[in-house]
Amino acid sequence: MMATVLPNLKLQPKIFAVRDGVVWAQVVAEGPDRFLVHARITGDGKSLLLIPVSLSSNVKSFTLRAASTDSTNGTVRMVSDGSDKITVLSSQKPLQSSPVFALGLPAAGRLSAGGTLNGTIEIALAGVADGGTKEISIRVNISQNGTSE
Amino acid sequence: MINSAPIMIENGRRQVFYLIVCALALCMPGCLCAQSLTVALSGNLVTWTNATGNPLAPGSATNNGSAPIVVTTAWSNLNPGAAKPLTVWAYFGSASAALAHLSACGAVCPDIPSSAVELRINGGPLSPINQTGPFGAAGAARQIFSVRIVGSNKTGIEVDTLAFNINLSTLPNLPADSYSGTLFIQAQASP
Repeated sequence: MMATVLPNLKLQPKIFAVRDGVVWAQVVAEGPDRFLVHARITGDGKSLLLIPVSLSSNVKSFTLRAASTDSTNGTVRMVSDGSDKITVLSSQKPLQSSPVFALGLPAAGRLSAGGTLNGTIEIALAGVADGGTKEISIRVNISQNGTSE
Repeated sequence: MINSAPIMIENGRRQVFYLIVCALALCMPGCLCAQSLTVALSGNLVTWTNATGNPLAPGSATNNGSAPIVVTTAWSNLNPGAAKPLTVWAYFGSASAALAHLSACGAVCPDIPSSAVELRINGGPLSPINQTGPFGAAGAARQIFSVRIVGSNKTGIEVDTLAFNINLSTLPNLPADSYSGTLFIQAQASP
């Protein structure tokens, strides 16, 4: 007998907020496990996008990735609201380096990172020099640890 | 005359021999025919995978197997009136890990217990594999078929169709993984 439980990972944005007026941004869900951030940056000030998200997992561990379609100066990290089932490890990662910015692991005493979790994805963006305008796209997704897309 | 005495002794030995053979024959069952008991399966693989369109859904009571298995039990010249009936059992070697996880995470990852694996025998109700039988681990068996052998059925055949279900209603958090196990089908009868 052979049986399989398929990975079931979800990452869904809720409403999001923009901390200042330098950036205008819109979040578009692209599937159950990913979404796209469109942002237009105007001016040379720094901006911070706070995107509330809800995620769920049935795998032992997972990663969150962010990939920019162009050379975007900025950082990304995940801040967890806390969970007794999932521990999220994340630190600020430059958008132009490794796409993995967060790792989901089983909470203490648990066997897998299965469960749901709320948190916030923070994307800090550098301003545009000389007061110009720049549009960027950042694709964020969740995947089982050990698999890549 | 000299030779007659040995001839008479030889005839006497033969008579004793035939008497012993007759006595043994009277003590034996009615037939000296060979006994046989065989079990044949129509297939040897039941899956719950994406490839067969039925991956497991943790938390769901209904996870039907990919295909039923037909068990054909045939026997001949069994002993009528034997103390034990002819029985056929399905069983696992482990009650706690009937289908064991395959990922390399050690013994801490959960497995699928035999009590979560259910059999539907000949279209009847689903029954968990949680009995203790003559084979397999305690609490990891299910009787498929039983018949007492009498004169009229000392030779016979039985065909049983087994449909499979994995009830994960008590395992809503079973992690994504592959699970594998072997269900044995075995018959027994008194000689």
